[in-house]
Amino acid sequence: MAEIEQRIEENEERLRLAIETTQLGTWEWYPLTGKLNWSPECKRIYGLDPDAEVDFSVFADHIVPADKDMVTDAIEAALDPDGGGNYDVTYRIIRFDDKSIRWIHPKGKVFFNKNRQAERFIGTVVDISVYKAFEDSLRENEQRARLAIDAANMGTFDWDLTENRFFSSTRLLEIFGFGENEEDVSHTDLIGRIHPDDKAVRDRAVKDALTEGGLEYEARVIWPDQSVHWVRVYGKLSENSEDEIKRMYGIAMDITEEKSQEAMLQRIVAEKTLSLMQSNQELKKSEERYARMAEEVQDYAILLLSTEGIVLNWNKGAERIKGYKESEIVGKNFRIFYRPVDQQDKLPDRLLHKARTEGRAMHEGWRVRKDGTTFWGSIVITALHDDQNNVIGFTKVTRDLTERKLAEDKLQQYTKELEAQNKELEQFAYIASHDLQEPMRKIQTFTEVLDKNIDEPAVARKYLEKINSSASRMSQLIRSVLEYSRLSVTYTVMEPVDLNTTLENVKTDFELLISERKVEIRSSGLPVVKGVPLQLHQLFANLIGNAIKFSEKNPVVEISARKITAADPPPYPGLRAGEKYTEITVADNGIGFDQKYASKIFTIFQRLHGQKAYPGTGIGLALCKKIVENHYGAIGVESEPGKGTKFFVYLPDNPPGSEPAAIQPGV
Amino acid sequence: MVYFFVDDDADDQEIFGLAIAELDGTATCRFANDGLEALEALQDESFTPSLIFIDLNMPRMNGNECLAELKKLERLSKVPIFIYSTSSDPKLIAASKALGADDFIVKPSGFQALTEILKKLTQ
Repeated sequence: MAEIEQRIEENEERLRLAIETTQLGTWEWYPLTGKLNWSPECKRIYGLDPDAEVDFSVFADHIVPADKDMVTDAIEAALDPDGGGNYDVTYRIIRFDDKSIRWIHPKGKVFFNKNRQAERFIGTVVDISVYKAFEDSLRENEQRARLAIDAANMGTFDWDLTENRFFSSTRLLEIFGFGENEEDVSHTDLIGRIHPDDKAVRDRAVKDALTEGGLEYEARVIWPDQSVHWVRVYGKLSENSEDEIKRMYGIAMDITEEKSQEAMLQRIVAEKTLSLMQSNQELKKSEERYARMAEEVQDYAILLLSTEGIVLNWNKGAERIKGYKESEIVGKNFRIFYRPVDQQDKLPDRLLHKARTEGRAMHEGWRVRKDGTTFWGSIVITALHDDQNNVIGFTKVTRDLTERKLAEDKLQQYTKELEAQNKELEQFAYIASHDLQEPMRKIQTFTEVLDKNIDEPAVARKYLEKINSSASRMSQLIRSVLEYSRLSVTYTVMEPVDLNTTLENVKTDFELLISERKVEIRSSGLPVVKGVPLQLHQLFANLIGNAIKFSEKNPVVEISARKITAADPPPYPGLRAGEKYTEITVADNGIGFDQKYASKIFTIFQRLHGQKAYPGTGIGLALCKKIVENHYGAIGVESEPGKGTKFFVYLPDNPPGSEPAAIQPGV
Repeated sequence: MVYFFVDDDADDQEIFGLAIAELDGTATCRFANDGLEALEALQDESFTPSLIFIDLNMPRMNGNECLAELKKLERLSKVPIFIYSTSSDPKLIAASKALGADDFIVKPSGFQALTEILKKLTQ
């Protein structure tokens, strides 16, 4: 023992010297950014130049493969926010320069930020190859010593195979359950104590030992009190060629305690494994059932999306509703189901964002099928989370509600039409009660006055004339109202109308007035539009008639037209964006009016001027508005007193219910 | 008695004049063609009508607008103002009364009917 102590002392002294001559390297690592700094000494230990670049792979790639797991475990333990953050490990590296293997001993400490994330990991490192060599020799010595101490608890045997004599120590007999006083315990007695189930193990081990030299087995022995004890036996075959004696000597130890712990562990592991396997199988079954169910559902498109919105699976409903086969769509972004305008508007991204932040996003809107047709979809996107509440994907359920939507739209359209008709009826009631009554009232009143003056022919004639003019005004009003009411008949057939022809026809109508008032009508190459020829004639007649009527000098009427492309913003409130329109302008040099009356002048029976100065029914512009609306267009006006008036008419190139526009001459 | 009649319809002006002449040979009638013209006439402070009749549907300034302006004139505070219209729409009648019209007269169909209404108002 004194010799061992002396050697330990010697070794320790040499170790101290070795450490003194060994420089301490320092290092720091920032796990969040991956940044790694090594001191020059640290690099020297690895056989690197002091100014060499280092990164994590330099560190990881030079661990001796056999030590890699150990180092990884140590780092993981240190990075665990619930641990102490300490790192202390000894392992081998392969140096860069000479590829020699060195033992190093880094020690470190991890600093966590307030989010419990490992932020900074710093430490030192020493090359302990010298130390390690001595430590190993130390350990060997220690092991020898322990062996000696443990020997007390071991039974020993010596088996002369040549003579078949078996010597066993008292401890060995104890291990096999024989009492202190029992003598003459034979080898057969000992073997007899071995558990019947383990006899074969022992026999095989002995047989192998005779050919290979080493004996090692574990077996149960049954003591007389029926208690079961585990025994481990080591032995070595010794062949002496000189005296031809074949011996096997060895030890046996009681490992019952070790075994019972192991057995318990094994049982726990086995139980755990079994229950895991069972629940796994159940989970698999329910997953399968669920997957099959989702697959078979036809009325809903049920799909899984990745966090980026990539389609991961597809069901029958999705195929039925959207028209894609599974192989055509899996791996594509779900954006493809949205109209270009919605994609531009980032609707799919917004829905995904909402689902990510709020857990769920619901939406109804037009979606695009594979063949380009659209359907009205009602969708729910739900975020899927892992145990740490991270979003790992989404489910998306889509229903095709096109039929419902169309029915709703139709209903809304009917309601709108009904409302409009109602409003029109109200206006007609107003006309009937008010404007049509006025000439009637006058006829009645003047008849009475005429009656009073029936004996004075001159006075009587005056009132007869008044009666007559009231009657003709009444018939003019009735005619206009009739004309206006005829416009209420929708579903008129639209056809290409050359506005140049229309204008010529109107000019012919006004021939007399034009020459009397010396009217100048200017126009240049008007386009062909889609419309009802008679209505467009009425429109031009009213606008041009108005321009002539409300003018004090020689009227100049200028008619022009220009195209408004789909890219232009809607030219007038209420018109549709992305639609092509023709803008027709009718400008005059007449008396004009204050712009504040602009909206009033299109109302039926609204007049800005006295009957005496500018006679009229108050229906003309209401008629124009009605005609333009029948053509799905709009009419507007710009005016200033004394500066003339400009009417703008907007007619769509492709009004609903008409064939696509034919080739039209340029404007 | 001085009657002020505001209406853009020349026929109605004539009928009104005839009715007043039949009721009271000494009475005079003054006419305006719309609200603005009426306000202009009343700029002359020596002109204070005994009764004012205003049509509703007139160009430039309509009857109710004119009524609202006249109600601002202190010197007319004791002069009865009537709205005189073809319409019998309750909404229009309520609007005029709210603006301070003393009454709303629907233009009658017949000369006799008109003289009777005017007779009642002047009694």
